Amino acid sequence: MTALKVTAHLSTPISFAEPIMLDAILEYRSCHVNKIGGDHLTRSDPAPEYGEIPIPIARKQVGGMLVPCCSSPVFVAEHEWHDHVAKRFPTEFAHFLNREKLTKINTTGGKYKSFRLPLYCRLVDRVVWFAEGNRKPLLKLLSKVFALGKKRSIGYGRVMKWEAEPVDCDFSWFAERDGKQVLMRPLPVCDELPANLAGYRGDFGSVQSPYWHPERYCERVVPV
Amino acid sequence: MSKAAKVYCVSEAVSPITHMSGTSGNEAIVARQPVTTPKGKRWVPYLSGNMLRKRLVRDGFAWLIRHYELEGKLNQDQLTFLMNGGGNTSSGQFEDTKRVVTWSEICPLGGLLGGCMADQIVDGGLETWQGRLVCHENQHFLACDIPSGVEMPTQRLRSLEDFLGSYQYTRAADRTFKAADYDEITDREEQARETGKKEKSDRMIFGGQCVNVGAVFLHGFIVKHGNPLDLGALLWSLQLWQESGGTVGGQSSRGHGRLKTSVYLDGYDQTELVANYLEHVDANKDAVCEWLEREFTKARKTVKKK
Repeated sequence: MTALKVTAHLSTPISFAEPIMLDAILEYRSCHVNKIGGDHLTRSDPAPEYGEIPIPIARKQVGGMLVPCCSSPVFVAEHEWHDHVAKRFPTEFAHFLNREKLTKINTTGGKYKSFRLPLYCRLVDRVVWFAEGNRKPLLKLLSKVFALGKKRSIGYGRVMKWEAEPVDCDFSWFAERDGKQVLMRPLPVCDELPANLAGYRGDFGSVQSPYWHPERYCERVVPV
Repeated sequence: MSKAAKVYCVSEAVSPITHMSGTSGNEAIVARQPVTTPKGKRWVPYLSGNMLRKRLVRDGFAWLIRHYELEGKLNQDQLTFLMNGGGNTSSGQFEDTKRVVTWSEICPLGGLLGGCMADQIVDGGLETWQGRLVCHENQHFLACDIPSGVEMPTQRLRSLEDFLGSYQYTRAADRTFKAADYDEITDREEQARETGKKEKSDRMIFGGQCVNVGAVFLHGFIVKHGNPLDLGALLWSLQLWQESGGTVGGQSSRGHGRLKTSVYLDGYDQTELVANYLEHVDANKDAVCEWLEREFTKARKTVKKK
C-alpha cells in the first residue's frame, strides 16, 4: 500500500449534493467484479460487515470503526449554475391510449404531475482524492467507472481519464498545515482524533460505505 | 460479466439546430454549457443527453407499441411507463428482482432504458453522452468522444462563433384572425393599392439563435453490460430516429433540428445485432403484452397476515 493521489479528469459538468467518496465507488465496483451482490442494498437490508467488501485501499481502526484511508473529494468549481430536468405526461402519444378510457389527466398534482426540477451543476475539470492503496488494482476497478455524480445516464460528470500517482505524504485522513492537522474525510468523534485538529465541524452521519445507510450513522466530524 | 460497449455517433446538422434553453427579451437562446479552455471559461452550444435519450425512447417504444398492435389499447400507467419512464408513486417499495429480470429479458429496450413502476425502480443499463460541438473550444475534450485509435486533427478547429447563426419568422397577430374574413382582407389590400397608402402590417416578428447547418456534434452511448440484444435495441432505435427525420430540439414543425447521424460500433456486426433484436421482438410479443397486463392492469397480489 502506498500513498496515492487519484485524479478523475472530467469532460462534462458534474452534479452532486453529497461528497463523492472514492471508497464507496470502489466498494460498488468490487461488488460487481467479485459478484458479492451488495450493489443493490436498500435501507431495510442490513448493512454489510465492516470491511467485508474487498477494496484496494487500506482501512484503519479509529473510534472502534474500520475507516478507509481515503480523503473526501478535493475540487475547484470554476462555475456553478442550475440546469433543469423536465417531465410531463406524453400527450403526443395519447392515440396509444384505450379509446374507451380516455379521461382528463391532472398534470399539476397526483401521479402524472409535470415537473421542471433544477439540477445544481458545477464546472469542474478534475476531482482529486488522496488515498493509501494499491495503484494497479485500484485503476483496474476504476477503469469501468465512466461517470460520477448525479444524472450520469444523461451525460453529466463524464470521466475522461483516471490517474493514480504516488505521493510523498499520506493526506488520506489529515493534511498538516501551519502546525495543525486539517481534517480530510469524515471520521467518528473519539479520543483518538488529534488535539490540534482543524478545518472540521461536528455532524451526524456515516464514516464508511454505504454512507446513506442508517445503521452506519454515528457522531462524526466532517471537513469544511 | 459482459464487457461495456461504447457506441459512437457523429451527427451533422442538415437544418438549423434550435435546441434552446430559454429566452432573452424577444430572442430565443440556444442551449449552452460552460467549458474550460486555456483562455478561460466559454459557453458552448451542446445537445443535452436527456433530449438525445428521449429520442430513443420515443421512436423505439412507439415502434414497439405499433408492432405489438397495442395502439389504442394502453392505459395511462402503461403509456407513462413506456414513453416517459413512469413514476415511483407508491408509499411501499419493493426490490422484486424477478420482475426486473423478466422485463429486461423479454424487452431489451425496456431493460436498457430502465424506468419507474409504482412501487419499484427498474435500473437502466444505458449512459447517454451529451452532444459536443466540434469546435476549437471543445478541442481538448473531443478525444474522449472518438474511438481509440482514431487520430484527432492537430490543426486549430474553427471557433464556436462560426457555427452560430440566427433565424427570424413572423406570425400573424390576433387582429388578423379575429377579422378572419378573406373578402375583407382582400378589400383592404385593394383599397390600399388604389390609394397608394401602405397598410400597417400587423405581423409579429419572432426569432432566436441557432446552430448553423454543417455543424458537427459528437455524442454516443455506453451500454453498461454490453448485451448484444441491448445493443441491437439501441441501434434499431437510432435507425428509427433517423428514419423519422433525426430531429432534435424545437421548431421541428418548421424543418429545424435535423441531424444526419453515423453510428460507429467496434467489434460487432451492426446488421446482425439489429436482425437478432427484431427476431427477439417477434418471439416475445405475447410475453411483453402479458407482462404489461399483469403489472399495470391487475392489482398485485398482497399477502395478508392474520
